[in-house]
Amino acid sequence: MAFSQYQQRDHDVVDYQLYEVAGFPYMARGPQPTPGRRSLGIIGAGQSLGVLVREPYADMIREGYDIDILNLSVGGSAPRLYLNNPIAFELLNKTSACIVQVLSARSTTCSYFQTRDGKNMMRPRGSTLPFVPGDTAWDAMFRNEPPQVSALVVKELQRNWVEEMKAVIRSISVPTVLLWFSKRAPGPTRPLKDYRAASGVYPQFVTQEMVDAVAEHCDHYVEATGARGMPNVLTNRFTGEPATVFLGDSKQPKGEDNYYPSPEMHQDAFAALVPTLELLLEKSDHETAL
Amino acid sequence: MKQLFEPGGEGRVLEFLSAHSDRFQIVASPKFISDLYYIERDNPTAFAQNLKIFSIASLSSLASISGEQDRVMLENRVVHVVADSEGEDDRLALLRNLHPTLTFVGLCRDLVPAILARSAHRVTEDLSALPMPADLLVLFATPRSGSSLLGDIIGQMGFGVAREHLRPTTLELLLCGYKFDRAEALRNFLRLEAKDGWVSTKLITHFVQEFFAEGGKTDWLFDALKGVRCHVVGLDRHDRIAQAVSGAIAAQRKMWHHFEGGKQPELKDEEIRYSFDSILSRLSSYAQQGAYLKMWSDFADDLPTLWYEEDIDGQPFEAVARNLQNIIGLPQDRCRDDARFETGRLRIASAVNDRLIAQFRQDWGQRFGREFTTGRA
Repeated sequence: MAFSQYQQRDHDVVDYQLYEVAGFPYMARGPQPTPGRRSLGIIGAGQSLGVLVREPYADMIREGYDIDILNLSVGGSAPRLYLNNPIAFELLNKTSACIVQVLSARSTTCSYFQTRDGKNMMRPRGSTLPFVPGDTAWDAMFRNEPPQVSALVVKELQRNWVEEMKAVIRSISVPTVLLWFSKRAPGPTRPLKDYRAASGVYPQFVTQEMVDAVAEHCDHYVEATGARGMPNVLTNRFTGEPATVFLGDSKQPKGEDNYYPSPEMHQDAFAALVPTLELLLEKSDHETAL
Repeated sequence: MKQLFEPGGEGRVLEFLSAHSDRFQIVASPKFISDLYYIERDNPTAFAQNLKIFSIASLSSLASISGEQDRVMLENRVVHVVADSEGEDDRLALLRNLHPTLTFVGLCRDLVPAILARSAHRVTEDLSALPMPADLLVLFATPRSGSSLLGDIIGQMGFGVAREHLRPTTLELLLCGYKFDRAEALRNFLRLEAKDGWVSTKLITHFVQEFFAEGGKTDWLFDALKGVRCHVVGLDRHDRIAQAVSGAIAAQRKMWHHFEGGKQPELKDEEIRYSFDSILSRLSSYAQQGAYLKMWSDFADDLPTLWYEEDIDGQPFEAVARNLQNIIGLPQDRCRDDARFETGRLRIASAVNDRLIAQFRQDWGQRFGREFTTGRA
C-alpha cells in the first residue's frame, strides 16, 4: 500500500485528492488523469505537491490549459527516490512534457548519511537510532564534526546531486522543464560555518553552478523566486476558521506555515511557467495534429 | 545529556532503560535523537542491543502511536519516556492530551529524579500527589573533609543518608539547554527521597562553584524549596596537606569513600606513589575550595561549620552525631534511639597517609626554605 503523504496531518486544511499509482510507492495528488487525455507530468517535492495549498500551480496549469496533470511529487524527495522507482519514468514518458522541480540536495546519497527510501529522513551511517529529518541530522553533523569533515561531505553531496539529477533528466524522454521554485535565487557557493549558512533555504545546498550543470541537459529552465504571501495562514477548509497543523521537524502545532510556498507563490510560479508552457503545449498540439 | 546516556554514567539512565526495555521506551524529538547519535558512536553496542527509541517525527501526525499500538502497549503497561530538547513539559502535556489511554513520563522531569532517588519503579505514580519533605539537611563540604562519613552518620541518625546528588551528571543536566521544568524535577526528587519528612544531601564545594561559574540559574531552586526548612552545615578541614594527601591516595586507589560496598583498594599501601607536584596541585585546589566555603559562610553570616579534626577524626560516632545535632539544632526527638552506631573510634588515615604527609612537609621545607604552616582556611 502506498504512503499517503500528509493527508492525515493536513486533513482540516487541504484535500489532496490522493490516489494510488500502480507500482509507485507514494500516492499522487489528484485529480487523477483520465486515460487517453493529454497530460503534463510533474516530479518534485512538497513544493510541487502543493503542501498546505488548496490550488497549487499544477491545478492552475490543469485549468488554464485544459490538460490533465500526472503529479508524482513526493514530500521530502531526493533524486534517488525516482531513480529507485523507474515506474515513475515509464508513466512520465507517456505525458506531453514534464516539469522537474530542482530538488534539495540534503538527502542526496553521500558517504556520511544513510537515508530512508530516498527521502528526507536520515541518520549517520552505522547508527541504529531512528532516522530524523534532514535539517536536524545535518545540524548535528555541523555541530559535532570538525569543519574539514563538513566541507568534504558537502562537496561530495553536491557532486552526487548533479549526477543524480542528470540521471533523472536522462530517464525522461519527453520535453523537460527544470523549475527552480524557492524563496531564494540560486547563488554562489555558501560559507560552511554552520548548517543554515551552508545549505540556505530550500532547495538546500543547491548553488547556481549546480543548477547550470543540470539545466544544460533540460529543454527549458524556469525560475520562480520570491516569498509573496508568506507565512501561509492556515484555515479550516470546512469552516473557514483558523486551523492548526503539526508542522516542522519537532511536530509542533502551528497556525501558519513558513516553509512551503504560499498560495501566492504558486500563482507566481504559474505565471513564470506560462511562456514555456505556451511553447511546449502548442508544439505538443501540432505534433498531435500531425 | 551525554552523561545520562553514557554506559556507567552516574545518572544510570542508559542502564535503567536498557534493563527495562520491555516496559520503558523513549519517545524522542528529532533533535534529542540526533544528540544521541554522537554518544552512540562511542557506545554502539549499548544502544543497538537495548534501547527502544521512537521518533516523534517518524510517528506521522502522532496518530500512529495509538491504534494497534494502544492495545499492545496497554496490555504490556508500556511507559513512554518523553524526551524533547525543545520543551519536554509541553510535549508531555500534548501527548497526554492526544493519547489519554497511554502512559507518558518526562525523561528529565520524572525519570531522572526517580533514578537519583533510587525509586525508579515509582515513576508512574502521580508524583505531584506525594508530600514534600518539611526539612532539607544540606552538608556543604570541601573535598576529602569526611563528608561521606558524616553523610552516613546523618543517615543512621534517621535523617536520610546525605548522598552526593550534585555530581557531573546532574550538573550537566541542570546547565544544559534541554528545556524542562527544573523546579518540578527537584520537587519530584525530594518527594521520592523523603523519609519521615526529611531529605539530606551533600554538596561538594567545587561542584557548586562550577554550577555558578557555568551560569547556573537559581530561580527554579528557590521555587522548588518554597515551604521547605533548609538546614545547612559546612564541613572543612584545617590540615590542607592531610586533605590533599587523602585525595592523592584516593585517586590512586580509585576509592573515594570510606566505604565502597566492600570494594578492595586497587593498590596496597606500599604501592602508593608519592608525588610532590600532585599533592601540591590538590593542596592549591582544596585551599581554594576552603576559601569558597568561607565566602558562603560570610554571606550567610557565619554558616555553622564542623571541622574534620575537632568534630570527626577519631571521634566515636555518637559524639559526631551529638556535634551535628548541637551545631544546627536538629530535633532531639527525631534522632533514632536504635541507630546502629559502632562503638569504636573512627580513623580513616593510615600509615601511608602519615608517610606521604611527612614527605611532603620535608620537601616543602627544602624547596621553599620554610615550614608549611596550617591554620584555619
